[in-house]
Amino acid sequence: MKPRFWICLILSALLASCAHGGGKPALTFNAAVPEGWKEIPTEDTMMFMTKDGGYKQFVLIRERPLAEPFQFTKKTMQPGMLPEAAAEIIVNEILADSNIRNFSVTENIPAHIAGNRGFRLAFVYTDADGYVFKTVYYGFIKGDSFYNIRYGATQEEYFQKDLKTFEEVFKSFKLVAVK
Amino acid sequence: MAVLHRPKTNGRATAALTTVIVLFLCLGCSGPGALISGNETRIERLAQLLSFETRMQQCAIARRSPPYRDPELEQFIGQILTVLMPAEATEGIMPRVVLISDAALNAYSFPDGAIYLHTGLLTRLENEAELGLLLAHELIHVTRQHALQVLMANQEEAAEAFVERSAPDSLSWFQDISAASGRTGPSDGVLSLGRSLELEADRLGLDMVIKANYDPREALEIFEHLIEDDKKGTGVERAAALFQALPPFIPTACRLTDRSVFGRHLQQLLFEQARLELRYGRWDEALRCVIRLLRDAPIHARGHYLLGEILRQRNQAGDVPQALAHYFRAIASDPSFAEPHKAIGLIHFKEGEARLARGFFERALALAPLSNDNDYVRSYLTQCIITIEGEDL
Repeated sequence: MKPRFWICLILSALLASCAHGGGKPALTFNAAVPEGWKEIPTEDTMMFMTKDGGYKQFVLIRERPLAEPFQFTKKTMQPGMLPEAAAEIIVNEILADSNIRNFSVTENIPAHIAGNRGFRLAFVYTDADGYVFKTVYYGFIKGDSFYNIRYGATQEEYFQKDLKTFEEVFKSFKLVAVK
Repeated sequence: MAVLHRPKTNGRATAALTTVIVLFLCLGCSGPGALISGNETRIERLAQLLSFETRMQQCAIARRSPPYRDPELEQFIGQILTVLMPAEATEGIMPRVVLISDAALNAYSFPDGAIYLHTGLLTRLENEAELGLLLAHELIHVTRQHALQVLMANQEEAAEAFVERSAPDSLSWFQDISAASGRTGPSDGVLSLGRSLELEADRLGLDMVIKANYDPREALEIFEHLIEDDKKGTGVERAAALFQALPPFIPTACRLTDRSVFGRHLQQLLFEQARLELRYGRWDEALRCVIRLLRDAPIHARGHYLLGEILRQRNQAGDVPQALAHYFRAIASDPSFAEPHKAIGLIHFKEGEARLARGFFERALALAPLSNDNDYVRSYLTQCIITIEGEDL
């Protein structure tokens, strides 16, 4: 297990807790945590779940405001943006990340996510520590938010093994009304 | 798992010092001419250290910066190097240019003759003579062994570093030089040496350009073309010094270069650089590259398409109609080019003009039946058909 990953996660959670005055904002989505997996608590608007650790396999579901610029390209998404254009922003953002090497998109197609028009990306990359990750990434825009559901695993060992589990998580994903 | 063995703090500090020196040399150097002769063994050891650092630095660059490959352009630059390279070049040096796909305006050289040239800088140049001057400047750094001169100026520190560097095999000092060293940068003496070596490279580089029969006044235009990004304003001083150094009579053999030839060699690079800048959302830079491309190649279909894409994605007031115009110009230049058909279809689709959009999507599919994005195009087409059928009911 890579400590840096967890440190990043914890830091982002801490930063988020500062920004939100200590309380986690209510999630506008829900998904089932598979049996044998655990959800790692965070203070951000996301669900992070894994079975054996983030460097083995993980599912990350996140909502982000459209107005928030992406870190590397500073691009923003807009309401009503077509899924293909949103997918292009995601791809460009990853390409602009200097910690990512050998990034290669193997699939970029339209998809329906909980009844919303979106996209499905599949890609492979090598992270800064040399780990090769294979990822499936769904995304869609709803209102003023961009939702993404991501499954990543170290390519050789875990990807195929846990893909079906991810598909179950994906099917269980739904938007919920915030009280 | 890649676990880096971190050297002891002292070793890291001295390693950092030598790295700072080499980095500094890569950015620009200094100092009066010949090497101080002395202990030959020490000089040999310093040269070994420099050689080692050179390889390390080049490996680090290779890890973080993608090279830009364009065999035709590389050959063209290689020919300029050949014309410039003095006969008395130091033995064992193999001048060569490595193009780095990077928007930064940067060029630097290593003692082994490798000249690293960022594509962002190359796309700013307007003629062959400017490129000649830039390469000549770097060649002077190499052939006059400026890196070694700076290392010699820091002999004691460097020697200490050399001793301590013989043990550890870590790469980590490249990642946290400043933190490890506790130094803020090169000493004043080294900085001064750096400035004087820069001036020497400028002056001797200009001589080299004149000897190669380039018109030095054309070469000096480089300072005008880089002035916008010269935040420190040092270019003005350097240009003034070089104009003063010009011989009163320019040799008659010196000729102006053919800018259209230079422009042709840069076309592919300008296109790729514009795409890179677009990817990073740097609209102004992307526009600069593609507008220059279209200035040199007004009917470049992919250039017009890319300009349309930049405008569409930037999406400022008036951008979309302009984007449409460039998509149509792309089609006029190359009717078999599928992408602008799809792009026009998307603009109509987003504006709810399903009937208009449908024709362009169908054309895009017909022109490129195996395109990777056809799943998207088909989904748009399906939505258009549903809308049209709904309207017809």
